Amino acid sequence: MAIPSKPNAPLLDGPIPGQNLTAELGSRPWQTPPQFTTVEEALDYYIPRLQADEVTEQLLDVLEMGVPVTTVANTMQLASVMEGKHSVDVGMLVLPVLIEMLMLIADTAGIEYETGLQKDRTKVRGSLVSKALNRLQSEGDEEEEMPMTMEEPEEEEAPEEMTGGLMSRRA
Amino acid sequence: MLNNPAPVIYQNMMRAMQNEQENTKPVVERGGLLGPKKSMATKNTSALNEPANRVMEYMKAIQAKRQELKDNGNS
Repeated sequence: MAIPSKPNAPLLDGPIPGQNLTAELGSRPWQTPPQFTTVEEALDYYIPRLQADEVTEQLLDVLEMGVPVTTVANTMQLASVMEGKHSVDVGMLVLPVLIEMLMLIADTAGIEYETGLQKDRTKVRGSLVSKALNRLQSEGDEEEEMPMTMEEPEEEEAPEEMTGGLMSRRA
Repeated sequence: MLNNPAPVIYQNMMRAMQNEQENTKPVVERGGLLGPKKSMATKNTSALNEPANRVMEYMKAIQAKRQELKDNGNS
């Protein structure tokens, strides 16, 4: 890839739109018929792999780092779809079982992990804080730019209310 | 844009499991000669043919195992 001469110069030798469709149909693993077509076959593929010591250790490390279980499960099924192991539909069906399985492994190891199922609204994202600060700053700048001589609108006299009683004076 | 469908799918499956538990009625045994046999009444093959229902069964099994693990850890 060519290095742009200026920092903000556009990359002109990137993939062009539609380039992903230029490969021969069926040359990619996900374009071929999937290896496992049922949920049972897919689970027979996943569960022994998850129970392997080497994989379990790596998995526990990742979960201890704070990566949510749902993210790990989704990544696993997505990778298998890319490898042509199973279809996207089977991947979606397998997802809840994978999540449960990962939580079981983590519970067995006795580690603390994040499920990724509940939205933690108490945490404030850093990007949100910076966005609010930027907005506050821009509002402050606008206020400084605005002229301070604001003419107050003249108060209009309120029209007299017409009383409709029998004994009231005629207009 | 939904990047990770896993939480939504998991929660939908959990909701379906709860609904299933609430909607299942106990099978009333009838003593008549023409009444259906118990094995026939409890047999529900069509439900298990659905992949989502089979997934639900697997989830239940793993959840039971997790619960067992928690109970053993607490006691």
